[in-house]
Amino acid sequence: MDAGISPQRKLQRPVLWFVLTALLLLPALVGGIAWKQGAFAKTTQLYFFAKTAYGMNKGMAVKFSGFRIGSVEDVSLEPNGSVKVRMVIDNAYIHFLPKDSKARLGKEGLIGASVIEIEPGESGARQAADNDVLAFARLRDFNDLAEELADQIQPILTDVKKITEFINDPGSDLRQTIKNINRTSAALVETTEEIKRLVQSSDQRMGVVSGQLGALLQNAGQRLDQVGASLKTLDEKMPALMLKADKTLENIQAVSANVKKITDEAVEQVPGMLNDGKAAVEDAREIVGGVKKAWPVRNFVKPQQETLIPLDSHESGSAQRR
Amino acid sequence: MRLRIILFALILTACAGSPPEPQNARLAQATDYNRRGEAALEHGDYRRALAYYREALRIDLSIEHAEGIAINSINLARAHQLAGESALAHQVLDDLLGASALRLAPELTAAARLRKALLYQGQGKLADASNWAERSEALCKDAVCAWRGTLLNLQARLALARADAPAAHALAAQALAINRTRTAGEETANSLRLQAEANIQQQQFAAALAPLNEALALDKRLGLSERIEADLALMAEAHAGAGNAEQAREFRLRAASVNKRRMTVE
Repeated sequence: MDAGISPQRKLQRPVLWFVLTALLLLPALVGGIAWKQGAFAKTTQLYFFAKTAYGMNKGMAVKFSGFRIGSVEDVSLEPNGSVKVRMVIDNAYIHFLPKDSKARLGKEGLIGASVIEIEPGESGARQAADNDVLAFARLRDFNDLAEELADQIQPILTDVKKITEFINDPGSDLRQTIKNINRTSAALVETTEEIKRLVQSSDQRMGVVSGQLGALLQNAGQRLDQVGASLKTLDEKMPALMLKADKTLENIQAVSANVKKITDEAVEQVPGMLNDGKAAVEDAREIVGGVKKAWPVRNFVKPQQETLIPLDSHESGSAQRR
Repeated sequence: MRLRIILFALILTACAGSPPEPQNARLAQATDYNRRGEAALEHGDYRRALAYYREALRIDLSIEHAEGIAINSINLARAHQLAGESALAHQVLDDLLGASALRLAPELTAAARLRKALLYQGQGKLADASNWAERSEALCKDAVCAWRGTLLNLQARLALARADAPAAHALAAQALAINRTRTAGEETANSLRLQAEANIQQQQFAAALAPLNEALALDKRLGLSERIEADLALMAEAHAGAGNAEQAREFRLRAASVNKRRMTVE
């Protein structure tokens, strides 16, 4: 009976069933994907206003305690120059957000992608509702930290430069003093030799006088011994002081290297390096402060004063900064 | 023995010089903020500079440190001006100049008044600028005043704006004499440039070349691109006026080249 039916005809029915099933399943599949993507999820719109749109863009994630709870739907410029940001929050999470919650612009890792972090308020205010406006703040990012670090380094470098200049300046009081001391000491040695010779020759003629003079010189020698003992301590401490200054420079070099690395190297190293940098800056500040307070530097290095930006008659006639 | 004598003399020297009096902690903190403000301003970060100067001023106000209050107010005004907030800059200076209880040193009052004059000049309000320059001059009459050279330069610039070239030249010459004694490189170059501008305004083109050459050399030594460009442009103008078309063209090209590189650097 079936011998007259062609094989094509035989296949027609299953193909038809397959196509029909596919046509029925396709919308279900599309709907499923859309549901999974949150297209049917109920959402709440929240707003915040920022001074600048820097770092914010449409589609960026809105997170709460590290979980994505929504996204930025729109970023627009207001007539007063402020930036209005519209977020949509999945209603499943809205109960976490009281009305006084704060939106913060932060980064995933210090130089990762920007996200809006929602920080819940603490006053027990009502739950945020549609079209509520949240307060906004920017979290400090890598650039801010690096700039702050640079600001902190600058004064220390100035201090170190001043101390180094002071020590190296051939015309500085310290160098001149040492030069004068050398000259004076040479003359004193000669004088002492002359006194000795004089005493020896006098001894032959005036035994009593020389005895007294000898005692006097011995007494002076003992006093110089006492001074010498205390100065020996000082003499021992001076190299340590200079080592401290060297250490300061090393610390600063380390900080500079860290800052350079921050821009060049991997993300995960950044926070640690910044912490190291800060610690080194604090060390450097402490050491430089110590050197400045130590004798003899303290006598020659004036304490820093507040300074006036130079008044410049050309500045207002130009676009130059200063 | 020799070592002992050296050390003895050294300790005597150290004892002879009394160490400078240390700053109190609050003042040291204010100084730190002041210096950070200066560093931020150097980097063109006006917002940060404003924050630092505000903090320094707050500390100085809390300890009634009159000198610091004046310095940080004037600096804060400059930072506001650079941030494009002239009204706030005026307000800060008005607050300072209106605080009669502060008993500011005349030189600092003169500096604040001069800053007002510079602000007005930057806004193109030349009559107000002249007025405040005169008020500054009342407290800054001779070369002892640190701002005398700057003040005279500003007055010369204002005279040029009034097209009073002879007065501008005379004021710039006075300023030059003072600035040279103070080894104030920037202001010396400004005086020279103003003299040259006055010469050009009076059609004395050849006379403008010598001061411009000196100003250019000074500005190059100080690395001030914008002023080097101004010097070169004025050189071109002077040469063009004197009929040296080829040299005028050469200086114009040099000015344009500096401008181009300056923009990429800035």
